[in-house]
Amino acid sequence: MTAAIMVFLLLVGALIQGLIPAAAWLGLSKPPILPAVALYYALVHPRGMAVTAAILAGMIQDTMSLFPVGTSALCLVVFALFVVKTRETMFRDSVLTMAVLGAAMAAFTTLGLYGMLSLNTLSVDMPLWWVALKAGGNALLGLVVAPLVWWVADTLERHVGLTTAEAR
Amino acid sequence: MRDKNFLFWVILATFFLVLLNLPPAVSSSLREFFRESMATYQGGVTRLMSGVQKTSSAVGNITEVIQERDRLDREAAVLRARLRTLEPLARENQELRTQLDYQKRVSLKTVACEVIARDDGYGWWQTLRLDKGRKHGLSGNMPVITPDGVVGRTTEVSDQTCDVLLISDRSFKVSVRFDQEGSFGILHGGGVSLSGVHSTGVLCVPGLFRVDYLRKDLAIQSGERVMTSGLGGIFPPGLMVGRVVRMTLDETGLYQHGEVEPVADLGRLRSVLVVTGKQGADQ
Repeated sequence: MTAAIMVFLLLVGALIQGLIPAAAWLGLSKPPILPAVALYYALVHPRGMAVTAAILAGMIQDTMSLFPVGTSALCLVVFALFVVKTRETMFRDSVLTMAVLGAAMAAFTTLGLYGMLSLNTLSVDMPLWWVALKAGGNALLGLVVAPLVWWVADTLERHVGLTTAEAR
Repeated sequence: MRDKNFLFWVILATFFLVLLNLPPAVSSSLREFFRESMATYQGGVTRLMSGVQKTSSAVGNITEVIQERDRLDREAAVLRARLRTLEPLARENQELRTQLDYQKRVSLKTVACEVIARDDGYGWWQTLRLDKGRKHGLSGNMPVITPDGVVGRTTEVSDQTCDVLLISDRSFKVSVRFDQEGSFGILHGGGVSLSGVHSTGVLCVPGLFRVDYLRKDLAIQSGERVMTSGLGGIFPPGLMVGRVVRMTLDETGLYQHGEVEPVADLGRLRSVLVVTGKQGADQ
């Protein structure tokens, strides 16, 4: 059931993320819904599930854009594993934790993707100030989106009888 | 436990090594699978949103809508009458064009497509997703236009969908010709403008395009039309790209560069035409 909910959240997340228009003053950032879903699984579920969610979220994101398949997945998995490693030291059920981690994950993914694209032959041809604006915009959106996604995912899992404690 | 942990890292590292080095055919199939799965829902939601927008706008301005309908009815009657007088002339014109083989040289075969999504999933490239693909005769690197001018070129194509890289994307380059002056140049997309009038309908105003390394003695005037040159192999010659806003001398003083305003309304595209070839080219 956890896997089914994960797939559902990722597909709906991808649909919403693709449809919401990007704003120029946030560096054309989209609300990072897929990274937020990966973050939820990294905070709440076992390591295997967290890595699976991060890989799927990254792959969906890559196939929706012009990124080489696997680049977003790698960034999300690295951050998800960091969260899994350090989550025992955090207040996991706090909205503030989700917001701060959501912002950090969105900024990390943006900078990670830019770094990987710079190494790749596929250049994005954008000035550094624009990348900084994009990372900031993503962080701001991550701050707002991550707690919302956490609330939706947690509510959904509770409704099907899966409590957070059991998931852990 | 330690062995299990080691195994986990080995599997993960191998997985990413394989994933990041997938052969283009496999990677392309993966993209197609995800895109095709999402396209139906994206198209549905886009149409739904458009319907809701139209309905709410109609309800909000019901009086204006009725007046507008009456005005359009009257206008349609006048135009129908005018069309009847023009029909014989159009027929004659068509016959002359056929005789001169004109159409064969300039007309383009196009496929009309609806826009089902804007931007890529993470906002790195300025793209569109269209509701038609390989099954409708589309393939990569085909020009995408509107009656106003050039919009972009196709990139990834699956059976039912197609992605378009917009001309405003910074990575977009096209060979252009200045209409009156006749000189050539390479035009780059300008990204998006942080200034300009942004609204909920258009959150991004395209930045001005840029044409670099033009000889400083060229007398290119503001307002001059910029067309595709036909060089480069993707775009046929003579498609409108934009109009020159200003020309400035390079910092070195050796060249000048031009800033060009797009003619196509890139922020509000609902439908576009993909150029699949020339009329009569396969005859």
